Amino acid sequence: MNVQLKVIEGGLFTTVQDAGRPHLRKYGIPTSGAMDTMAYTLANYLVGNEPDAPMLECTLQGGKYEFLSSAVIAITGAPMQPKINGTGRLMNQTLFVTEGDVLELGYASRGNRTYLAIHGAMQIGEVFRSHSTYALAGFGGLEGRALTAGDILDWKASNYQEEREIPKEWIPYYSNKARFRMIKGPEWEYLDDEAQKKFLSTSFTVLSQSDRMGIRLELVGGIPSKEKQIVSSATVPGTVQLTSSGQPIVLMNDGQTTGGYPRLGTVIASELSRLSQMPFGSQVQFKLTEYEEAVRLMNYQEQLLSSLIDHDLYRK
Amino acid sequence: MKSLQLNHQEWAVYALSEQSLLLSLPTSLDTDIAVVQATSYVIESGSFAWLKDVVASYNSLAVFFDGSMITSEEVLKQLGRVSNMGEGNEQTNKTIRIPVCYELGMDWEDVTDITKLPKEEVIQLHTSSSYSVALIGFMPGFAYLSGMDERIACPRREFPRVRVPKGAIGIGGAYSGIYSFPCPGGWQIIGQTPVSLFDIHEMPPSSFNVGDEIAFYEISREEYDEMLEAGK
Repeated sequence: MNVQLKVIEGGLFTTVQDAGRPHLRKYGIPTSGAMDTMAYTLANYLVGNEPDAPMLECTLQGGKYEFLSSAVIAITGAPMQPKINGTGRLMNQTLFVTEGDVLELGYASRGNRTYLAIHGAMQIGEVFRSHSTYALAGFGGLEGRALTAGDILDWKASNYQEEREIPKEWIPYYSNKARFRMIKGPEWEYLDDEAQKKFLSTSFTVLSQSDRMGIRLELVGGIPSKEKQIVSSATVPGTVQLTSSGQPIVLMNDGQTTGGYPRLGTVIASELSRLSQMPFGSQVQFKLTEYEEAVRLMNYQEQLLSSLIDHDLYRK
Repeated sequence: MKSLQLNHQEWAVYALSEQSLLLSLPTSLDTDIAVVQATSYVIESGSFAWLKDVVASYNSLAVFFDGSMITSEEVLKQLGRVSNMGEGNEQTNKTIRIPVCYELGMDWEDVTDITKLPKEEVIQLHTSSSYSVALIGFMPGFAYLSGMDERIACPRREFPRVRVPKGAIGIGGAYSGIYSFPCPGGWQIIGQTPVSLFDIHEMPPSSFNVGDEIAFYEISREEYDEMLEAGK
């Protein structure tokens, strides 16, 4: 059957995202994809989609959507007080909507990004084998841009009735202050002992210029460094750069593939989802961790998620 | 900090992420570009099932591996065993000739001011240099080219443009660059190429790789319009 949705209001910045296009960095193409991979994976699980199926990623204010057919949906990530036809509905569980239903996603009361998954195969072309939107270069997703009023999206779906619910233990509390583990970067030693201590004890403020390219952080006065530039070299999502003003930026999914700023560290993979949920004005701190620990935590998180999906732990 | 002997060089090794290693040479002389590019080729030709991506830049290589197949320790062991190449570059590099309409350059006033050279001479020097792709980054398909005549080097603009058109040819410091996508940019724009150097429907999407040679040649406004039309 055909599932169709019409955008009444696109929200602040809503794009189609999937698991991204991870291995094209040699061409200067960033990974893109859902920023909060935990919420994204759980959303696909709730609607019985493949783990890498595309969905909508909403930012800060989610928008209004009319279903032009019945559909099976789920909403995960930052709480946006979803309402269907004016009635409050719960996140983190399978929801059934009928033709004419209007879904409204409000302002995120905590966190930053909310995911709307719909059961079925989204009928949208791929670019480099991914449905993810890379808005800066204008390709991928829906015409390489954010959704806007009047846009219509289609899915081909089966007659699906399965219902699931994610228990509270799986849902992070998106607080406004958090500490993130990072492994040392190639230019960590550009900071002298005092600057390193300062960096690790500072509570940085997330600036409003933050976006899918990177999380811009501020500390009045900045962090001093022996050198302000490096010969341009590869970066990855999670790379913590020190810009020339002494302010750090953590590159994220749409960040550049190479950079000329010192790389102080890399936020560990298992904490990037949580980092993507730090809104403007929130506080971020860093803590050093060893590479082996980062790998262990990444594997552990992956195993937990696989287990949930493979054993279908939360089917009702 | 670890080091790795590979291709007759000693590389410093850093973990860039859980599933990527950075191999870096201590100096940043232009001659390292050829070594880095040759080493990148050696690694990519090694038929490693775990290899996902290699990002080469002036003096470093980032090697991306599948962490579910191999550990970083094992990656380094296997890279260390790769047979070193002989002197010189055994990979065939392409020379790509790119037409440029210099009339469409937007920053001629600043460029002639900074270089103290007339426009014709800047064009002369730009087209007579032979360039090498040193880095692809910043934007998809954005190529940093080394080999530009130092007499036409210009610092980046103090206030970057919000939008540089696709196909813009620029000067940034000692490098020349090609904007494959419209995007914000701070380079001095001296011309436009009608040729599309990046295609999202092709794999590989870029017309060039790190190490390829580039030469620019001048075309008129009429030729530019014709080529642009023909490319559609």
